[in-house]
Amino acid sequence: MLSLTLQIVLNGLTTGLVYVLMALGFTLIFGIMRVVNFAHGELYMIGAFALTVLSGSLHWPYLPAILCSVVLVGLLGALLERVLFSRVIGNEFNCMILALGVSICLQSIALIVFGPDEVGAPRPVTGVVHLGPAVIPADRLFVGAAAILLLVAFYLFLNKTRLGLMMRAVAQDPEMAALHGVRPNLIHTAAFAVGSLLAGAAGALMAPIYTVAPYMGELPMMKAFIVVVLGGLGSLPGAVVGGLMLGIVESAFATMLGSTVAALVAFAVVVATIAVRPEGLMGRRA
Amino acid sequence: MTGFLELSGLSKRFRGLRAVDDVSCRMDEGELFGIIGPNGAGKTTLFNLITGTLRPTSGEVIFRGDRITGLKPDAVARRGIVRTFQATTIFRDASVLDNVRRAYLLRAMYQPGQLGGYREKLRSAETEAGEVLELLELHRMSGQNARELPYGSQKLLGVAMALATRPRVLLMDEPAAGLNPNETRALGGLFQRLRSRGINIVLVEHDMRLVMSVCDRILVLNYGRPIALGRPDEIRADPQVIEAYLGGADEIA
Amino acid sequence: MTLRIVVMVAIAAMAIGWPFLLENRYITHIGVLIAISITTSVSLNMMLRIGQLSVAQAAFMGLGAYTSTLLVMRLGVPFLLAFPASGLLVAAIAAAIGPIFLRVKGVYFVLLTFAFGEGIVLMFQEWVSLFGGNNGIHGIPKASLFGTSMVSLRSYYFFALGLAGVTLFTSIVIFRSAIGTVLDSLNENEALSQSLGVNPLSYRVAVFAVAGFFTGLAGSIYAHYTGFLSPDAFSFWSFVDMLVINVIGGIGSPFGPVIGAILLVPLPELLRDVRQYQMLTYGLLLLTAVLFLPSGIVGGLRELQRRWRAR
Repeated sequence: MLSLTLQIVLNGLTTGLVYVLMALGFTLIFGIMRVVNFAHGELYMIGAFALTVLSGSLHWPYLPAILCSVVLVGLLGALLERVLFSRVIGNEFNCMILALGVSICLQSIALIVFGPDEVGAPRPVTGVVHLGPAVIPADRLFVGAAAILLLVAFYLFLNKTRLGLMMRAVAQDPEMAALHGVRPNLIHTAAFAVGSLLAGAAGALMAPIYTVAPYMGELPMMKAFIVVVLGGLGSLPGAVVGGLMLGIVESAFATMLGSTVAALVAFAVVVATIAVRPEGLMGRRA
Repeated sequence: MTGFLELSGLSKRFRGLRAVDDVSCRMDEGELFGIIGPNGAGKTTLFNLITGTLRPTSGEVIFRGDRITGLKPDAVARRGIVRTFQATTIFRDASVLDNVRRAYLLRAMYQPGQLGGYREKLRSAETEAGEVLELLELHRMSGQNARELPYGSQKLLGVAMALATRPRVLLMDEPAAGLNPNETRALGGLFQRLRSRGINIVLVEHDMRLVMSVCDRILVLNYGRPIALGRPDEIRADPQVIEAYLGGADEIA
Repeated sequence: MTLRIVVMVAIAAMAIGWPFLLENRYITHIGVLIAISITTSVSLNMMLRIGQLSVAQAAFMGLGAYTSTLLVMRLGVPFLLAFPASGLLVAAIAAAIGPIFLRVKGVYFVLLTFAFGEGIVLMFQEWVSLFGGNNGIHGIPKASLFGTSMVSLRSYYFFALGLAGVTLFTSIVIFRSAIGTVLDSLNENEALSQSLGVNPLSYRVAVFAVAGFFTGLAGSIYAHYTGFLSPDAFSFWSFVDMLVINVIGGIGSPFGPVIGAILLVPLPELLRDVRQYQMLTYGLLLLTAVLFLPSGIVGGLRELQRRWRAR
């Protein structure tokens, strides 16, 4: 019983950490720009494809390949914000439509370039690791460790750098931040780039574990959305706690009741949360 | 005997802060009732409790013998208690006449025996709106876009819209705020005209001179608590009131 | 005004003459799809007009389609009864969830209806014994009216066209009536409208139910026309279709989605063999519309008309 619980929690934590990466970017972009980024799953997908091409087709070593993939998706995010989102910022409806359009475009471009077939990326590590009575695949553990590293870096970025502090200020009170001379344009571009970078990192990390295909972003996008609703739209701590919780709860439900029930329960909880407490379980009341 | 509009033990707490604390009072039919108090005394919160925008933590609001505590704002409005807002609250992109016509229509949707055709409703809305605008001396601007009106007229338009719903009680939240002295004086005349049409007025106001000159009775709030209730001359002489306004004592005179 | 009537009569004449125009089955087939699309997109338009982007519309269509199919196939209910039942059931569901869902606005409503839609599709997929799972339901009988089965393509065309017409007419009537005034007022300033005695929730729920009703009916026709149902026909992407049609046509007018459907529905049929290019076209059209033509084709035409008059 103990070993089963441990196994469930470990499985849950490793998936949950990836959810956290996705949800953090999603909620950061919403918190700062009020954009519901429907294209977030596609950024994940592009991160996965970038890694697959660099380390699989071009035989780059893993480390430069993943770094390059992550930076690439971050730059793509900055580009999207500059060229597209900056033009409709402030109009919630148009932002959503634009994000949908971007999502469709990116997915179909991937379909045209890579075709509909699933491909795989080489694994950086293989084998299993024994943690007490629980067994965990080494590549999963690697993803978990990398995600934690990234989260720490993100935390330091938000709390120790000038840009990060400005971002937090804008997310908390855009008008006040503007009064203190924070340039929203720069912050918007940076937020979109960082949010995209996190999604790209999640995709690149998961590429060797799951198969890579143009539509692969839809599911993680959905998870990010569930997490963000539970944690409160725009709340960074909410995204972290929500992501880990969803990972563990899903892992428990999937082990005991099957994944369909897990998914249905997740949707029911989402509906109940928005209806009763739209600011999320951890969000502040407006 | 119960009053026309009665508050009994009305309280609202926000996270421990007592915004409105145990307010009881009775307004009689035909009375012009004023509510005053320093900034943050809970005047607007009290308004929101009466109109259903906020739910009271405890206490009751009774209107003509019926409990209306906790009803939604629209339900309270349909009973005849209609409010105006502190800020100008109007349909900015519609003409002045359209604003009032709309207000009339919104209300008419619910009136029994008014299920006639849309055209018919529009026609009676037209006449009704014209009368209300004339009453408020806005009729010369009826074709103008509401957003182009000067601030004072925008506020009056808000009152016109409330009147178009034919309220029994008009709750006015700082109608004189932002008006120039001429407009404020005109407002005093308006109250008398409304009164002669049998509309009860409850007034939350900062402008002491206005309140003292038009109100029959006044309730004074301080930190959410009622500290005085009486005729203007009684209020003016009340030591507690003077203390509450300390530093602003000249305002009272 | 007279010009408008001439244009409308011309459009009506073209709609009726369409299946006779080329005597081509394929052309008529596209006509049926356009008519169904107009029904669902005008329904979504009603929701957009009250300022709520309802992602649940695709699930509503699915609920209508499965209701009608199961009533006819499992219970032997005649189509004539199953058809209105599918619309009424969806309207009832909308009326039931509306008071909860419509209390929130904007992004939250989008996310709520999104979760609802995904849940419904998941139910279609996983409740295999009832909905047939991902394999779907095959061999749905043709619709039959008064004992005669609707075999010909043309009869479907006119049936679907009739539904589209009624939906459009309803939408126009609602928004031109006093109810439309109330809805516009709510959209513009909810606090003010409520202070004047309007119950915001009841009006929004009513529109949600009406939009659900017509979408459910469209689902019923769709099921009996194609003869095959699968859950992914009612996924998020099917909602995206309805939305693209509205955005391109223009969301400010009920005629926007009509124009959008006429222009966009043939597109997948033209690009049938290259699905990825069809998607890319959709995506690029969305981007272009949002950036350069935010009020859609109808908005653009109105602007042209205004400039023409101002000259």
